[in-house]
Amino acid sequence: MIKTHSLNLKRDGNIVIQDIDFSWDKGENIVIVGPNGAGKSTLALGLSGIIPPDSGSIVIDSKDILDYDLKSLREKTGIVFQDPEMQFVTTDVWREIGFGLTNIRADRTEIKERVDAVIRDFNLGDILDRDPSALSAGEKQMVAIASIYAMEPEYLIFDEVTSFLDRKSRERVYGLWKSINSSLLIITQNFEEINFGERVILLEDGKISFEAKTGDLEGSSHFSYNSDFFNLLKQNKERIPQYDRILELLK
Amino acid sequence: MIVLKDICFSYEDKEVVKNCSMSFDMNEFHLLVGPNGAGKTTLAMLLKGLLKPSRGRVVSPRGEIGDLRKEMGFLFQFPEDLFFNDTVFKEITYGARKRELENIEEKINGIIDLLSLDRKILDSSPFNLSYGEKRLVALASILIWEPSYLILDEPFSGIDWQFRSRIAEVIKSLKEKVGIMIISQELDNFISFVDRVSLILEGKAVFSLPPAEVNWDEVYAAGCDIPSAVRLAKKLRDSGIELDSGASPYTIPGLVDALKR
Repeated sequence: MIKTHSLNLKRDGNIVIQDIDFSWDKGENIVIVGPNGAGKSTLALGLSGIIPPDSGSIVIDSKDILDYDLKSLREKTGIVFQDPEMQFVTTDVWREIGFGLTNIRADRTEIKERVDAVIRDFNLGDILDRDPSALSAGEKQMVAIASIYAMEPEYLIFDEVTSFLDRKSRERVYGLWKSINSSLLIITQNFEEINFGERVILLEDGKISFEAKTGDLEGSSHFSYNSDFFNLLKQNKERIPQYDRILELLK
Repeated sequence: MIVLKDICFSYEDKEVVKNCSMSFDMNEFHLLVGPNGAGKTTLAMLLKGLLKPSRGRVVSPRGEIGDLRKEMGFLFQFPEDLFFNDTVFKEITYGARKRELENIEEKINGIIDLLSLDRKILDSSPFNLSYGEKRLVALASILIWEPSYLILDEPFSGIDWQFRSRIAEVIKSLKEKVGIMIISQELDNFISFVDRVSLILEGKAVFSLPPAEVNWDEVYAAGCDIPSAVRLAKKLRDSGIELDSGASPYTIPGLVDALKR
C-alpha cells in the first residue's frame, strides 16, 4: 500500500499539493481526473519519489519513501510521463527499453530476455534500431510506456499517456492496463478511461475534492462544486455528454 | 495554394513520406488524420519548409511560396517546451518584436481578448502557468504577428475539457480570417467546421475530401478516431434504428436531423 499523510508538495517554490491524505492499495487501480493545473502531475512525481515531500510523508509498503535506495524504489514505483521525450536517454529503442534495467544493475541475460519480450508485446520490432527522439509522437509514447513496463514496478503511474495516441495504439495501452500485474494509477483527461479504475479521484487546486468507487458514480449527488465537470464524470460511460446533447436537440 | 508533388522524406534510413502528392488551399480549414507515425507532422514541416524533401517538389502555382511560408504560423506539439522568456508578455510578443511590428501593446490587448486570457498573467513567468494557459500563451505568441495561415499540430493534447473547448472556439473564430491546417486525434470539438479531411497512411495521402463525403469506416480501419456522431449513428443502425438511407451525419446536430427525419 502507498499511503500519504498530510502531504504537501512544492514545485518551482509554490505549494501545489496541499495536505493530502491518500491511500493506494496493492492491486487497486485508481483514476485521477481534474483540470489543468490541479496538481495531478505533481502528485504523480511525489508518489514516484521524483520530488520529495515538502512536509508530511509518503509511505510505500510500510517504509518511508525517503528511506528507499534508487534500485528498490524503482522496483516499487514507475511513472510514464505525458511528454515522453522527458524520459529518453539513449539513442536507440532497444537500449531505451533496457536502460532502466541496466540502471538498477539487473543481470545481462535477464535484461536481454526482458527487453526482447517487451518489444514483442508492444510490437516495436520495426523501430528497434531507431533513435527514440526521431520517432513520431505516438511511437515515442509507446516506447516510453514499454521502457517503464520492462521494469515491472509494483505500482505504476500513467500521466496522461494516451493523449497523443491514435485509436489503435490507445486500445493497445488499454489491453495492457487490463492484463498488467502492477497496481495502476491513471491520470487522464479522457473520460472513457475512468472505467479502468476501481476508484476515481477528482483533484482540484491541489486537493482531493471528490472520490468514489467507479461503480457508485451514477446517481451520486453529494457534490456541488464544479458540477459540469462532475456531470461529465458520472456520465462517462460511452462519452455520454454527446448523448445528452442529442436528447436536448431532439426535445 | 501550395502543392506537394510526389515528395519523399526520410529520417535516418526510414522513409516516412513516400511519393506523396497533396494540395493546401491557403483559405480552407484542412484536417489531417492518420495513425501515429503516418507522417502527418513531417508533411506539416515540409509544407512550412522546415524540412526539405529528398525527392519531389513543393510548389505554388503563383510562385510566391517563400512569401506564403513567411506568413505561416506553426503551433508545434508541446509548444510550451519552447518557452524561454521570463514573462508571459515577453513570450507572447517575442515573434512580433523579432518581426519589428508596430503597435505591439495594442495587438497584445486584442489577442488577450480573443483568447479570454487573464491580463494579470502578463507579468508572471510562463513556466508557472497551468498546462491549458501555457497552450493559449503559445498560440497567442503566434497569433500576435497575424499569420495568414496556421498549422496546428495536436493543439488539444494534454489539455483539459474546458480549455479544449476554449481552443476550439478560438479556432472557429480564426477560421473566418485565416487558412488552417490541423493535425488532431481528437475531432469532436471542431469537426463541424472542417472544410476538408485528408487521411494520411504510411506517408501518403489516401484521400482528401469534404467531411460529409469521407468514408469514416476507412479512417477507423486505419486505427484512428472518428467523430462521435459517426460512432453513434453506427450504434443506432446496429441496434435497429434506421437513419435516412442517404444520411451520413458526422456532427451531433446532423445526426439529430437524420433522427428527426
